[in-house]
Amino acid sequence: MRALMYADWSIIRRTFLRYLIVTIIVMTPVVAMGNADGEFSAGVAVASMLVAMITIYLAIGLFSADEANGWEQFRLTFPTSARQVVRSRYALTALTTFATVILATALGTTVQWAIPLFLGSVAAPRGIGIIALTSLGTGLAALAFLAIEMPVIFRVGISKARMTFWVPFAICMMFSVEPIRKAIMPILDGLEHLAKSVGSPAPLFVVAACLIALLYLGSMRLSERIYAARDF
Amino acid sequence: MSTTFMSLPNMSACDEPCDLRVNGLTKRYEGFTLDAVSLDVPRGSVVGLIGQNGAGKTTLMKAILGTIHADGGSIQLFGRKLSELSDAELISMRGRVGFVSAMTAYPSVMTVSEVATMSRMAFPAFDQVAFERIATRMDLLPGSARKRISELSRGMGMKLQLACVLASGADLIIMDEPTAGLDPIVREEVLDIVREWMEDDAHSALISSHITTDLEKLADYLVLIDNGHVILTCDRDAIDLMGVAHLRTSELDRVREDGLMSEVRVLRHDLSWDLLVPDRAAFARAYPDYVCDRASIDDVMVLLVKGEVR
Repeated sequence: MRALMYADWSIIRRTFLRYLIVTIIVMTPVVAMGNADGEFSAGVAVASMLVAMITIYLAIGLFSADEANGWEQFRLTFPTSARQVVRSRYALTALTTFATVILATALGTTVQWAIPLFLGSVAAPRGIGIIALTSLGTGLAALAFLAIEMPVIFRVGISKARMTFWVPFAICMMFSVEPIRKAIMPILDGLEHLAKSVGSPAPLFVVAACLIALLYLGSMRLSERIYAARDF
Repeated sequence: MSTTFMSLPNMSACDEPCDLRVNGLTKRYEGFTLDAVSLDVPRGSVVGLIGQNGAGKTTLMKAILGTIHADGGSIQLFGRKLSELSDAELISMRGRVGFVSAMTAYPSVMTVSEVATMSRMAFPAFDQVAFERIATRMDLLPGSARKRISELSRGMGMKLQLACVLASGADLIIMDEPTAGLDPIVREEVLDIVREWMEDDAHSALISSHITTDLEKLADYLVLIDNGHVILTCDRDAIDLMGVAHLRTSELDRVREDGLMSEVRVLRHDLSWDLLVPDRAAFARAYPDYVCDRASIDDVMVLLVKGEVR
C-alpha cells in the first residue's frame, strides 16, 4: 500500500503546481469582478474555488494516469491486493483534500490581505476562521462528490466514468427546482432554527462532516468490492 | 518397426517440485474461451509459452497473476493453491513472483529512481544493491536515474522492468513478450541477464514470446497454446529431435500407407507437403531418400496450428 501511495504521490507532486496555476488563472478575473461588485468576499471565493477545483482535478488526474499506460493492471501484479489499491487511493485523496484546504485557507487569507494593494479596497472581508470553515466545507463537498463517483470509476474506469460526472451536480441542481425546493425548505428552516438556538452553526457542520465521512467510508467499502471483482 | 518413435511428445504433469502449477484453468469471454489449460513450471526451469496472437497466452498470464478471475481450474504457486490463501498470504506469495510486461507500465511521470524506490517499498525482499548492479550493467544507471518513464525508449523501459523484477527477490518471473520490439543487441542483453538469473536453481520463469529463437536459447520446456487450448507441451530436447520432411504427394502417400506415424500432420504447399516428424533420426533411417530438415519452434508451431492431420 505504501508503494501505491508513493506512486500516486509522485504523480500528484508533478501535477499539483499545474492545477494550481490553471485555477489561479481561471479565478483571477472572477475574484476581481466580484470584489468590484462589493458584496463578494474574495478570500472566501479564492479558498473555496481552489479547494473544489484542485481536489477534483487531482483525483481525476490520478485515475487518468492509471489508465494512461496500463498502470491500472500492472500495479495488481505487485504484492498487493485490490483492497489495498482502493484504500490507498481513498486515503491519498482525503489527505490531498485536507492539505489543499490548508493551502487554500492560507491563499484566501493572503489574497484578501493583498487585494487593497492592487484594487484599492477589499469587499466583505472575512476572518481566517470563516475562510478556513468555507475551505473545509468545500473540501467535504468535494469528497462527497468523489465518494459518489469513485465506485463508478473503479467499476468502469475514468474514461467511461467521466460521462457520469454530471449526476451529482444534477442532484444538487434538482434542489433549485421549485417543487423540490419547496419540499426541502422546511428542513432547511428547521436546521437554521436549530443553529440559531444552539448559537453557532458549528454543531451542524460537525454533523455534516460526520455524515460525509460515513459516506466516504461506505463508498470505499463499495469500491473495494467492485474493484476486487473486476477483470483487467 | 515400432510406431512410438513417430508420436508427438506430450508431457504429463511433472513429478519435480513446481513453482507454478496450473490445472484445468478456464476463463470464458464472449467469443473466446481459455479452455481447461494446464501447465507446470518446474523449479529451476524456463517454460516458453508460444502461440499466435489471440491464442490465450496473455489471458493465461493474467489469470496466473490474478488480474482476471478464472471461471474454473486451479493455480498453485510454490505448492499452495491460490484459492485457499488469505489476503495476507496471497500478498506474501505475490512478493515471490515478478512480472515483466510487454509494455513499460509504470506511471509515465515517475523517474527511474522513483520506480526503484516504489519497487523497494512493494517487494519486501527487494535488493537495492542488486538493482543498482543490474541497472548499471544495462546502462540504465547512473545516466537515466532522473529520466521519466515517458522519456525511456522501449529497450530502456524493458531493462528497467527487468532490473526491478530481478532485484525484487522473486523466485518466479513471468514475462509477457519481453523481447518484442527490441533491437538485437538489447534483446541479447536482456536474454543474457535472464540466463544469468536462471543460473540459480531456485529460480524459474514462464516466458511468452513470438520470437521463438529467443526461446530456443532459453526455454527448457515449451507450451503451445492455440485458440485457448494447450496443443503441445514438451521439453525443448523433444523439439530438437523433431524434423520437417518436405515431401511430394506420392511420398506422403507412402508414409501414410506405412503407418509408422501415429499422427500424420502436414501443411500443404503448391507442389509439396511439409510433414511434422517427431523423431528426425528415426525418420531418416526409415526413409533415407526423403529430405527431412531439423524443425525450429516456428516450424512446429506452424504445423500444429495451421497444419492438418491426414
